[in-house]
Amino acid sequence: MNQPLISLNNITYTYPSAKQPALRNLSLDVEAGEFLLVTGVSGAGKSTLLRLFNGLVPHFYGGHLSGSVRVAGRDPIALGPGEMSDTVGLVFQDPEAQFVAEIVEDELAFALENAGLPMPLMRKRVEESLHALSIEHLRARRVSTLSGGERQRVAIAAVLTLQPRVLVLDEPTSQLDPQSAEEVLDALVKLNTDLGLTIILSEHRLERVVQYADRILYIGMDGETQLGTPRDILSHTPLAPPVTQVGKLLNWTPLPLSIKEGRRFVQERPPVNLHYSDHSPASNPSPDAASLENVWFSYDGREVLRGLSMSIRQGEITALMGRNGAGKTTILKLIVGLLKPGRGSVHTLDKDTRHVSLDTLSKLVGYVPQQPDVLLFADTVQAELDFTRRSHGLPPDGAQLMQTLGLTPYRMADPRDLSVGERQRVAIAAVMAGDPPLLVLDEPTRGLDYLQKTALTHILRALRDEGKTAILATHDVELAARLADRVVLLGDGEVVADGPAREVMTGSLVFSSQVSKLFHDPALITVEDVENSLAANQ
Amino acid sequence: MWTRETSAHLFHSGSWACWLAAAMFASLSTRNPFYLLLVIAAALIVRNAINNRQRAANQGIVGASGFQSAPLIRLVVTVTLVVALFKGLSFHIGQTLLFNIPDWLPVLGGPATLEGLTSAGIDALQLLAVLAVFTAFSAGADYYALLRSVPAAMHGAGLITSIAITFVPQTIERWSEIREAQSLRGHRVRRVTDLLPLVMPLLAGGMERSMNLAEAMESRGFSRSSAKRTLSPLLVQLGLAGGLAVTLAGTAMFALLPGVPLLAWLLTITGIALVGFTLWAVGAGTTRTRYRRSVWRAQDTPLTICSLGILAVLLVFKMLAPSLLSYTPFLRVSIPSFDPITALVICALVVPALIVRVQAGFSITTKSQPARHTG
Repeated sequence: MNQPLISLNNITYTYPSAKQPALRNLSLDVEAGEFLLVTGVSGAGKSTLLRLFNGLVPHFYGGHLSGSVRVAGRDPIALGPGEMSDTVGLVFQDPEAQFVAEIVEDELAFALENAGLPMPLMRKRVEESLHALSIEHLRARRVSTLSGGERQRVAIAAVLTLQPRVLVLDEPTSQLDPQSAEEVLDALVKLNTDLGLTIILSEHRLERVVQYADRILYIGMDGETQLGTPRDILSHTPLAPPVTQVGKLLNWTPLPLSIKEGRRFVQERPPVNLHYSDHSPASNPSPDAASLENVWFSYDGREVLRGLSMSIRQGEITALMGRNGAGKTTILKLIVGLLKPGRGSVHTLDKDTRHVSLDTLSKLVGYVPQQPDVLLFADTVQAELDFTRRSHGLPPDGAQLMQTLGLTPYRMADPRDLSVGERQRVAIAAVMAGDPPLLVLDEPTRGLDYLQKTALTHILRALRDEGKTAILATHDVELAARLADRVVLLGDGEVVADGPAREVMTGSLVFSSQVSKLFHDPALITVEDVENSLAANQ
Repeated sequence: MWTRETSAHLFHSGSWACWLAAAMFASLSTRNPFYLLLVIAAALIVRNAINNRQRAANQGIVGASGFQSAPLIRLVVTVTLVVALFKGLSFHIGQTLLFNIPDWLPVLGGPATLEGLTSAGIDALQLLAVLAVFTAFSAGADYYALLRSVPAAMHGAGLITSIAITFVPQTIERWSEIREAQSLRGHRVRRVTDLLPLVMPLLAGGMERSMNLAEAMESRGFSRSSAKRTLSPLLVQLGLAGGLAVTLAGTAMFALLPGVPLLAWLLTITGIALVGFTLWAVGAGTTRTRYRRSVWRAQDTPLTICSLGILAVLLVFKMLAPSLLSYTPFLRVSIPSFDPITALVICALVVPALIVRVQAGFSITTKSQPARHTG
């Protein structure tokens, strides 16, 4: 019998000063050449597990660890991450945070220079890594000029130069648009199938990756783990991509993992009990919450928006979608008044942003940036809300808002001690405490799992029901499908499509949800639609 | 010898360092406002030429924006001008009285003179000249190539320095994000305590980013060294702490005991040497190879000759005819002298811009030539 490449035996690990272990009695064998997907709710210990494979845990973090680990016959706990670097390559969520050099080729050579390898060998290794990731054309580029997907591929190539036997990736596509994520995943599949590289990857957006995995390791919040084939695991865990959830609802066997598999069921056994009903919203007569009229904007001479015109109506949730660099964040910053248009005009709640102070706009607009942590500074959640209200000259309050956002139990908690999803909610609460009628969110689902995204959906819907308007820039097509009334698709600084979410997503090849790709029916773009349709026919 | 050449940088790090030396010497060796303005103008021309060239090279590349340095430059210029104004008003020397500041105002109280304000203005101009030179240097610098030219024993210290340099723009960007987000929560800075909502997320984010980078470098074998450890960690810490303490003591002596400058110099140099030796000893024996050797290209020779020429001429002027470069507004302000030869020498600092221009012209000509088919 073959020895597994990786063997974890009864691992329990507790961070320093933590009360509960992050990993509990975990045992796992991974075969050489396997593609293992690690999933689970936020805070379950996925990142801790990934850092165990090369010894970052416990070498970098300290804490108490029991049990044994073997990777390719080596002990990362005894050797540490430096010595394990030629056995385990670790790629992190944010590629920018791992770059040392300015030029792509230098970045790839960094680890080799450190290892003191001779020049011909370095040359060969760098060339092979460039080729393996299909990024030869990027070799002389500055990393600051690369797109998100290119950066992540460079980060992967940079660890591959040491020729590790295992490649470990911590949510490598979480910051990427669907196309860039596909580029990265295609590269990983190629490495796995062509080179036989063992891949261990954690990911929240299962719809992107589940079809490539040989097995899934699911880590529950209580530390309990389940290991098995994707179909086994997804059939009885709460986290599953929409196509699999539809398969469960419609009793499709075997459960589909990809659109291709799901479509086979739709073609062979069309679900007769799903009927079309007109979900297109009645035309919204509300006045504009924000409007952009022939807006041009450029950064340092580079045009980002070219004569863009669009409007967002009050009481709606509007999703701005498009590739990285399409101009989504710029539009948000123009609406909130942080940027002024080079040409054209931007009106936010009837105020021309060119002629109104940020102080005035701050009373009308709540802005949650890409990283909610830039907002949080106070010792308690309550203090964060009080700070906003005080800044707007309002008395301390926020009990109702905290209840709406499910934050009441954390009222006196330190925001820094909360999970990513909880911090996101605190950030929303912090900006909504000033009671602005318009909420603007930039990539609100970064790092959130399905359950947290569902919670966010409920929160934004609740705010909309209270009469608020929300604009969000997002790559997350599933979120947009579930949440948005309207989708504005951007490309190259211009509006490519603008209309009701159902219409835009059904008509798009890239920016459409899994359910939409499955049925091509504007009435069916989310799992909820399928559920409702089934319920209506029973 | 096999080499890898970078196309992203225009000049060899050696020739570019020569230009920096010449431009810095020009900035620091004169107090004549005309010459300082010429240095600033030359540096801005060089910076713009390099940036335009790089922008042209990046055309069509999505996301090719890089770090926006304008806010940082604006901040430094504003601080410099405010400090200069304060300094100028606190100078009470000079014969041309402009107005009187009430005596009850500490430091500022007393006569404000045209000479005082002019002197402070020249200080500010000198600082701005240094800033302009550095922004031009940064635009064309390949810090990684500079790092490669550091001896292997000092590579660790050099890498940490280069990472620290890259953290500066990231920290400024983060600061700007925090300021924007908090201002939309209605936050305004009115007192020192109001800085907390800005400083806390900045510190937390900085710590997080440092940890992420350290993790990434550790995972790529940065700490795995083939060097034989020559010093124990305790000795390293003692060497660095001791060296810094001695340097601090030496520099403090200049201010506190000006009567014994020799001892002050001795302590300062000993301290710096101790820090340097400790860093060298930490990296001694490190086997480190270089993937890329910087290539000396045709444009590097004229740049080096010209830079060294400027340096040599200004050095000669400084030593043999210091009045050519100096200017003092005291006791009565006067029009600074203007020597056309000195001005011409300083104007020669635009050579990198000319080289870039000639290269761009050559490149366009080459591209526009029709392909010649033979056979």
